Amino acid sequence: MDELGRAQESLGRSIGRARAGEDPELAGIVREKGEQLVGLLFGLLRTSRAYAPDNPALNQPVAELTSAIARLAQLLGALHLVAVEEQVYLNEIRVRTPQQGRDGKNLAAELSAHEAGGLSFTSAPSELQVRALLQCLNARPAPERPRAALRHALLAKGVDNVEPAPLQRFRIAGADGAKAADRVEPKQLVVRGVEMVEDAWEGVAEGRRMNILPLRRVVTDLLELSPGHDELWWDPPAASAHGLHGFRVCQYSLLLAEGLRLSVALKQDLGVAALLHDVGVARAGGGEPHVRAGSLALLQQPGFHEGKVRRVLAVYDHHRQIVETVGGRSTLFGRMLHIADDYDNLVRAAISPARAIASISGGAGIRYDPVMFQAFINRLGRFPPGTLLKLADGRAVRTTSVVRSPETFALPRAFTTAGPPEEVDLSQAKIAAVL
Amino acid sequence: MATAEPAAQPAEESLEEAATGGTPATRDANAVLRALSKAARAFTLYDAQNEAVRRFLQDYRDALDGFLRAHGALGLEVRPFELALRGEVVHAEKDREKSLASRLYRDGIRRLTIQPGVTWEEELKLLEVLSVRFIGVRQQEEDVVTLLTRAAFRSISFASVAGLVGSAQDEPDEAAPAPRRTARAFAADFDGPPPPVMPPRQFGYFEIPAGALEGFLAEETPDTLPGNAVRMVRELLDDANQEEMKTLVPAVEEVRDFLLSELEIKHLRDLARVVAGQHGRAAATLGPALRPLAAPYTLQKLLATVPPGAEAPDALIELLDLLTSYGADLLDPLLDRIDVALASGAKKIDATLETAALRAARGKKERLLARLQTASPALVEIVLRFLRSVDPGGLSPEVARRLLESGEVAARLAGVRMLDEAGAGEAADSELLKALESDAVEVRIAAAGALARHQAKKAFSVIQSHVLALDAVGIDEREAEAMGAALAALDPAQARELFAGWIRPPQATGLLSRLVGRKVRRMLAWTAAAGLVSVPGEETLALLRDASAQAQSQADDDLKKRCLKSIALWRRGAQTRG
Repeated sequence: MDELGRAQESLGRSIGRARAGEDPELAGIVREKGEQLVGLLFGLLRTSRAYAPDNPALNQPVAELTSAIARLAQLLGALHLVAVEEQVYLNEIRVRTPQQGRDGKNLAAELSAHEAGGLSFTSAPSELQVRALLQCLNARPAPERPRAALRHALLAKGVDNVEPAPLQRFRIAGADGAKAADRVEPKQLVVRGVEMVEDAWEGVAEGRRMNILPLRRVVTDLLELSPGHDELWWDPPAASAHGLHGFRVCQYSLLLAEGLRLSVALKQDLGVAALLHDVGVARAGGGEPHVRAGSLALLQQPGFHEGKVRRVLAVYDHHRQIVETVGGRSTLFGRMLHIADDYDNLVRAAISPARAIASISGGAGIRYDPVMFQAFINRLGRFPPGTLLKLADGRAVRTTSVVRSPETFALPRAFTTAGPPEEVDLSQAKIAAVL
Repeated sequence: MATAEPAAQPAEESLEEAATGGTPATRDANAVLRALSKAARAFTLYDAQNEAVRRFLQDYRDALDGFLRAHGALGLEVRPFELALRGEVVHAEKDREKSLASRLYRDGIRRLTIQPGVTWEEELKLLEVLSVRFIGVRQQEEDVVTLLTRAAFRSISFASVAGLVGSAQDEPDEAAPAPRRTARAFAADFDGPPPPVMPPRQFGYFEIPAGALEGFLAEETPDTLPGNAVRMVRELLDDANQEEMKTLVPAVEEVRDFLLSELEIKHLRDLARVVAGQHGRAAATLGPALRPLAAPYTLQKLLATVPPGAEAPDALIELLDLLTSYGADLLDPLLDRIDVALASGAKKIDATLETAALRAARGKKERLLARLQTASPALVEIVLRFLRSVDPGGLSPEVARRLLESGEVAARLAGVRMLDEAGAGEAADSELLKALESDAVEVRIAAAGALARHQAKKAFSVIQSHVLALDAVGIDEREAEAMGAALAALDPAQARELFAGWIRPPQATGLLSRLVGRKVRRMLAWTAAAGLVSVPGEETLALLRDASAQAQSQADDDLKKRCLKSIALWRRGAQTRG
């Protein structure tokens, strides 16, 4: 077969795989109901200006809008409707732009009067709440801080489950998107990642279908920023333990993947698997049953995709020791997650990161893949981020960087813990002890 | 961003787009983009293997390589309905469904740059991503941006919408706390007890050997995916309860379809083993998941993985075997396969396939007979062999009669052969006599031969009439010889008398005899010459000589040669007869 023939075959195969990977049911529902939601909301915003809030003419469209939101909330959990650049996204899935008004206005324009770029529905609102929402959106925007005023107005009318989202714009990434303003903001990424894990657990607990795409976007951003970025080692104040654990295991796994020089595609799949590795707890509770429950929860996502196979097996294997032989050897991702998971669990158990990594070293070859462990410490170093150290000059510092070079394996960057944080490059200072 | 719009219309739309003018660079860029757009959309209209797709691929490759050679990097700005090169529009299409620009823009791509060092693999990968988008596949797992990121291009770069951020105009909003959903609470030890703290070892920075890195990479490749997919369902099926089966059945079906689309025979076998290994309710629940593999079309597809004449791998045979438990009827697919092998000139049939086919034939005599009625000549032998094997005493005249009613010559011949092998008997001979009236010369010849071997005396007059009747409309040499031989075998003396009449037709007497003297009919003489070979007696030789002399007098070289040949054969026979 010649080159073109091979190309035809390969393209045919890829398209076949892509077809196998789609979840037409979910996509169809989101598209259909999302379009309905946006169309009804936009239409109601305009027609309700002509009627009193209790006018019967609004009854049917309000009931339909309420029902559409409820159906979507049942399927997706919290709904995040974002209108930007004449496009509308529902939980990151683009839905068809509804018909524009005769004046050319669209949903984004309607919301922007309140300096809002979207609406988040944390639960399905009642018909009364929908009517109140329409009233608030149709009211004259406050001259000062209109979005905050809108939120207050909503709360005052008993709408505590709809949140006006900030104005949005697209963030440009990639080769030509080097503008500083468009770089991933590390702390926001931690918050987003933690919330994604929490949402996934919530969804599994409630039997909802999982949406992988936003999780994959978090991983893509982590890879773009670098999973070891100094500013990522920050714990959001409101983060749940499980949300933060999922995000940290994702970071550690991606660092390990860097050490193993895995491809971008594998890193993406690994990152998603890591974010979701303990999701079974939400269904089966803590302890070992969560491993199987998590695998099954991930298996439920319809459509065949290599990423799905990888994460199901990764979750299935993530508590298995390297020496276990029953069932064959753990998968690559399973062995990687095992190291990352145990390391974070040690750290979560208030063991110093330096001691935790030392403990992992003791398990290399027994609990953990020894070569993988080497790749892990090559990226995390002797004093992984979060390690408290005492310097020879008496200052206490907390490490904040992963390994920058082989030479600085045991000499990361750190910040002082007392007083205003001061950055200390440990290659320029002397470590006295691990605290 | 993922999109959620309907699939592109696969109607017979034109793939042609208007060319734009301008500078050589813009013209060439336009050519590249038209070729790219056409190639990407081709999959909405054509199968990947279609010749048109091949042509579009070639156009795309030529146009892109040509541009890069002549003008360097192709840097495109993506606008809602246009693509621009250095500010100049080089591709515009207002139809959103057809517009490459629109697809890219709506999926978040804002800039696309292809560098001169781009490889064919990268060009193809770019096309693949766009094709998947054009074909309207809505993936929940990936979007164009993640797909392009995964591709890790070296010579293709893109700027994309990588997410949404709060705009600069956003206001501080501490006044009212956001109604943030509260995360569900879980016990602190949700992941089980922390791992034991183990005594540390000495460790430091060590480079991982290249071989080890390659080993890790080799664990997750397209080649390992099928095995992992099977392992995934195998592990989870272990001790699965009925509630879990609701998740596992669709998963098995997904894996099955994936393996089938990739024609991964070994792993399909493994999957079938996993399913076949289930017991009780699990087996009942899961069994139907394998049934689609047992469908005739699918079985043909599986069998077609073996090149004609090649030996079928054990995995395939085992898979087929396992599928019989799920309703697979392997008989026809296997016979088709054998037929294809025979038609391709294979000298030997794969014994494993034949054994499998024979196994599949058990208890299916009627199916074999039905098959026999439509089988190719080469396959007839196999099917007859199977028939004998599955029902040694069952090759009755009734069966032969049904075969003789077939429209296929090969089947009718098989019927004659069965009757022949059955030996003389009233029923068999009666069917053979009917076969003499067949419209196929091969069947008539075979029937005459069988009747002769059966010494069915009453066949003599039937064959005689048959020859005379055919002679009137034209009988060919092969049939004449066969009929002559049959007549001679059935009754040599009567045959000689008959043949004598054909060689020396009785002449009328009287005044008109010279005018109406009966001539020798050429094909009757031919029949006689052929038949006389086995008729003993010197008179036979004289008859043959007469026939030869008449042929010479009529300058019929062929008939003369036939007669001389018969004389030679008769002499050889006479020596044998003593």
